Amino acid sequence: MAEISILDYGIGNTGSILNMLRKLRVPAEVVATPEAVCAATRLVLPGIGAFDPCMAALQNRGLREALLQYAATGRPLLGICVGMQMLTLGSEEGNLPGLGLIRAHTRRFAASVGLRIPHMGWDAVSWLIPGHPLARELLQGSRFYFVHSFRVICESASNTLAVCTYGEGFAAAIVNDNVAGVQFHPEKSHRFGLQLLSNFATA
Amino acid sequence: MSSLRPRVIPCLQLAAGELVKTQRFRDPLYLGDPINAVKLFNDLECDELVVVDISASREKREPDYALIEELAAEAFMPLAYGGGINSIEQVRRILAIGIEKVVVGSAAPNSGLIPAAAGVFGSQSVVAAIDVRKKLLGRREVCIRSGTHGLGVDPLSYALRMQELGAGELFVQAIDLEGARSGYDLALMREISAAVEIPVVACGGAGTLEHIRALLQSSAVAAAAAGTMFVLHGRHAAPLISYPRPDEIAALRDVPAEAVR
Repeated sequence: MAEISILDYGIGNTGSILNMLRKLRVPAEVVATPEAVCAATRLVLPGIGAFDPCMAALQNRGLREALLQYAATGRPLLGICVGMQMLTLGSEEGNLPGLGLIRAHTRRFAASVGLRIPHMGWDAVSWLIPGHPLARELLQGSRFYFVHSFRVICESASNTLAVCTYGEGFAAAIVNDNVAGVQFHPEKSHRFGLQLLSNFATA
Repeated sequence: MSSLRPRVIPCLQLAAGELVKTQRFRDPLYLGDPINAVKLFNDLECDELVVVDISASREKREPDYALIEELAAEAFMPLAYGGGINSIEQVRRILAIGIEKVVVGSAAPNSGLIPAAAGVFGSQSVVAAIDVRKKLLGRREVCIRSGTHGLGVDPLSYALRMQELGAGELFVQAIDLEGARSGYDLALMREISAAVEIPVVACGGAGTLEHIRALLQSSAVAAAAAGTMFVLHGRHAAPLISYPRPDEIAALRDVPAEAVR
């Protein structure tokens, strides 16, 4: 049985994540059904593009309920990019509710900041929860690759695992017990990304 | 203030499954195995890679998915692919393989491909290629099909149109400077990067780190791409993969904030 299951709901870069897990020699598989989600040991929820199409794709495939059930078992879940945004209560980009697994909101970057959107490129991340298993051996200021037009803000600082600044601060990683999300793309972030996914595989 | 820095991007060319390098879009020089090249750039921890199959559009054939998959398996940084892409199904297949961005060139002007792909996969997945040639009297024109077909459109209005169609990034290449190692077309890059909201990647003409620095200091481009500089070495143009060290990149990026944006 695969140690990590990557959820494929038609919109996502499952290939990149699979490639990096292969590099780490972690047995991994791509899954697409509610049954496979519920049976997973560790689950990655990828996501690219816009919020509503991703949420709608989950809903249409019966995966929304499956994800909520899976999360309630206490087994590890990692959302990546829009996958992380879907863990929040909702997004200013869309109208559909998020999964609400972490009390956080996905918001627009304030237009007044005058920066180019999306926030695209390599940026430095500060880890806020010392000793958290997902942040193991990741230095303050480690570089990750970001591509996103919306940003996540947690209601409680205790859910903010890492922050980054682009004009204004935002959550680069969020966590609530077994549920975590990263705004950046670990699968495309060289050794820092390898370390993070390795942490997720062993956490 | 952001800590986000301009990217430095090697641009690799493929033809018939081999790594090649052209000059002014002609005379491909065979350099060897593209998978090995991607592996080396990965080890050098480059910011991002662009791979363009220069023969796909011309030969009117499908992208070489098997090769693209092998390249993606070695790239733990963002990877963009261009060459022969003209349908949403091709885009879906390429992104699923593990490519982050597709570069649309010849199919960009007259099809609904860019808006369709941006609608489904997000504009961050769609890069519009803008190949620019200088005409008589210094006028510039956008070309497609590896520079063989002029569109009779100036680069600035074309760039604005690509942005409007939904492209998330522009890959602007000065054909006349490709392989020249004499520096970027600064006027072109300045003009386009000042006019659009989306990130601009500049390519064509880089020979030294000083050229990249000059580009980053004089324009608002988000990234400096180069082919020859990173795959050939010395006066005799021997194949050699190279990429600036982290400290060299840090120094390059030490540019005024208003230029970085």
